[in-house]
Amino acid sequence: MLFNSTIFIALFLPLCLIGWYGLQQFKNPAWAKLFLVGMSLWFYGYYNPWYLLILVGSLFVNQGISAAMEHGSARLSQKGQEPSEEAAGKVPGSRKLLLTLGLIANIGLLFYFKYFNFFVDNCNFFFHTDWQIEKIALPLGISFFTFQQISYVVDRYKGEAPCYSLLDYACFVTFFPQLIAGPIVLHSEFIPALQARKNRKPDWEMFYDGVALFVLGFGKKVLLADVLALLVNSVFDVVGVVQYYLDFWTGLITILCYGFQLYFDFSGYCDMARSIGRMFGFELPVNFRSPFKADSVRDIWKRWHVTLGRFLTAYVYIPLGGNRKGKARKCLNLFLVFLVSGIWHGANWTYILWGVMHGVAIVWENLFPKLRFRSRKLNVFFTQIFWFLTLIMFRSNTLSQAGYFYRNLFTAPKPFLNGIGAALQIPENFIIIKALTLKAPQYLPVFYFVMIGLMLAVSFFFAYGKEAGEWIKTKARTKKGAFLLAVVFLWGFVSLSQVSTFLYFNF
Amino acid sequence: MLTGKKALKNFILWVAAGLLLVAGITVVFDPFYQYHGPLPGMKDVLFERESQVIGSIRHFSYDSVLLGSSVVENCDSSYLDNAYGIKTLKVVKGSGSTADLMYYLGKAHEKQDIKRVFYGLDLFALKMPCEVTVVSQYSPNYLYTETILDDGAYLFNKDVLLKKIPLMLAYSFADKNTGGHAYDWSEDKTFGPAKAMEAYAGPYVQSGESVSGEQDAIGAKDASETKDVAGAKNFLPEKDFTDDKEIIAANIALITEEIESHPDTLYTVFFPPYSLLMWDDTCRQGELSEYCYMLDEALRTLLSYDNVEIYYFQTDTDIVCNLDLYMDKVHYSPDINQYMLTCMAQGDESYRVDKDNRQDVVPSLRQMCQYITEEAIYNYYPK
Repeated sequence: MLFNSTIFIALFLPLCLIGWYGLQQFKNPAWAKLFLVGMSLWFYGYYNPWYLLILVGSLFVNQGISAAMEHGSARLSQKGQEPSEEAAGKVPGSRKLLLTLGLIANIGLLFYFKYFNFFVDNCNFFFHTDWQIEKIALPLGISFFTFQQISYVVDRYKGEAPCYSLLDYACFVTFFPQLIAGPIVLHSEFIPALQARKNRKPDWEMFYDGVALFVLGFGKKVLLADVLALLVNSVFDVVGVVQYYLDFWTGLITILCYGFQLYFDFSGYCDMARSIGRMFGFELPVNFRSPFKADSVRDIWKRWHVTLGRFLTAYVYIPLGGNRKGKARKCLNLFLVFLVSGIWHGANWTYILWGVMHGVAIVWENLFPKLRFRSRKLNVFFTQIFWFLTLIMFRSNTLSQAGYFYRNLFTAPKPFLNGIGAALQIPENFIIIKALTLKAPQYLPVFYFVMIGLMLAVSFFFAYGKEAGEWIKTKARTKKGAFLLAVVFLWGFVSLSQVSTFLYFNF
Repeated sequence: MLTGKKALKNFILWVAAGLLLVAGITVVFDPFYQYHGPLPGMKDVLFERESQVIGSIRHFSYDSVLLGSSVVENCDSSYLDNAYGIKTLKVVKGSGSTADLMYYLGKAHEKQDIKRVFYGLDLFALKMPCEVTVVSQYSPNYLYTETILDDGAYLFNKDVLLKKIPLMLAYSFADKNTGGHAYDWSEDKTFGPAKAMEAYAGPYVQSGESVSGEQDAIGAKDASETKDVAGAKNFLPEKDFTDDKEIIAANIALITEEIESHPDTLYTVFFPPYSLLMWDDTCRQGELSEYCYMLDEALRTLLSYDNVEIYYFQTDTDIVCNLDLYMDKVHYSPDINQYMLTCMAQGDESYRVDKDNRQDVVPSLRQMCQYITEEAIYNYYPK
């Protein structure tokens, strides 16, 4: 089920909220939690009920490991020892074995469903083997809920997390707003709030903020990302695939549009996820903090997909030694983190190379921290150039497509952007296009040019302007604000006749 | 600043008002005719068959039906209205199967007392699956239910608001795709040999080339068949269509069931003239015998009913062999649509098939096909 779908907005979400708060009337909060888990499983299984087996199986395995660790902790306590001592290697214990098992199970699950096909294809290519396997379908959101559970298992091992009840843990893992495309929520951000008594009644201030944030995220996704996608897809469907002349301006506009599309799509989704969390009384972590204002690659990753960066820092970078083992090791660790990030994004060399590009850039910044402009604006400008250029690799379907794009990016310009504007045929401009086609077809290219300009201007405005949270604090609680939100919602709602999926769904 | 609760109430009220407004606009203009026919003062615009056929069946006023596939769409049904003193509704489906067309016809019978049905019978439709597809497979299927409860995708639809409604208004104002010209698509189309021949590579195969099942030129059905004749004509063996007979019979039965259920309705069945490209291709694919069989079965069965009259245009070589009149293998210009209607209205005996001359139809078709494959096709393609 998608957030941007009629069934979700008109049926699922209202039903879920009514059930959640209605069942909170019972003394025992277990009823409401069970309801939430049930609804979350319905949400996840809506696409393919078989995916539920994977999710529920993964949940039980990790909870089992957590319970077994609890048993191990009890034994350490009997000896007057702490789990943290075992984690620090000061005392022996069985919990390390359990951690290993947990990591193998989680990473193994991810490897099988996400990377096994890629692994086999590359073995066949590089080693001339002829392994033939059926294409393994990728369960939605597997990267997200697997990483979430890895963080819990590791924290359990370090003694930094209690053993939650199965029901609380199930609520945490399956909570539908963040289940499919993040943010990667830590147990400590969710379960205490789940257990808090005060969250059993709706907080109307928080609830309305949630509604406002949902509308803004919804608008970003449906009214901006999906429109930009029309142009981006029309180019990437042909570049390097069929004979297509890619000139500098087409390449530039396409990659700008893609950068904004990706941002609006992912941040729109995350806004919706956080907003729904707020409606339920949970504060899910922020995932985007004006990434287009970043003045270095390091800064990008403090602002873009923040929870992934947080996870990789806590569970990859620091365990590898972080910056505690000298500069060379620090650079290696940073590079490895971005390599992992690239691999996490997908089973394709384009993602891996994209991760490598960022790894190299981060290492560069660490080795030459003073090699920067004095002007912050210039640093922002060049950082954005780097970001958008690496997005060519990220978006390309194959390495050869990426190579073609990079090679052709600086060829001669073609008038009116090689007709790519014609992809921006949306109901909003239908009448104008129809009228021009009939009465003045010679002005169609000009119109498309104007459309591209308009889309980019709007994108710049929203990408570089106020963050959603800021606007909500100052404007949403006014009559005008409520009216504007209603207009955005309605405009997005009537756009749902054509439904699109989120870009980060298959991660 | 409002409190959270008050702001939420404001928001909900505005959203509710907006939804009512949007739904109201759609209900009033109703471009798919889900709730009512054309508004007073507006013309009966029909420009999108997939979305509008079923609605027009339910809410338009008519007593006759012009039924068929895309080759029938350019017929001016107002000519029939004037000729017979009737009011005809065009009911069409692109590559329409017999089952789908009979479904539509059945719905029309439910809604109106149908005096006449003009049915452009495509032979290929007689070997299509007998299941109705328009309801289950066609999206959006809210069009096919009669409850408003599943109309959300119609009532709150940006395409409907910003494309279909303005288009309907513009067409009504410009008198385009209205009345007898419902679904007429010929305006922007080019008819002529250059255009028609784009759809057919011709009666050739390259020397030494192994022809796959996908290739159109020679129409090899079996991928293992190798055609290794240098630049010559080629024909696949006549296909064994024994397995298809059951489905052909079932499709004809769908038509006869309809006819038998409405003995007071006069059915005028006509066979539209496909181009020589189509017949040349059919012969080379080894499918002529099957077409002849379908034709013979259809004629024999339908002529057993007193309320059926048949017109057969497929062997008029002045039409069939003149690619100036075609834009591809089967679609002819509106002049041919008009010609057929005129012939039928005038009761032109040269095209009329009855029990006396039925047995001459298939031989004449075979004769024409021989002429096409041996001579006429080479007026357009080099030998």
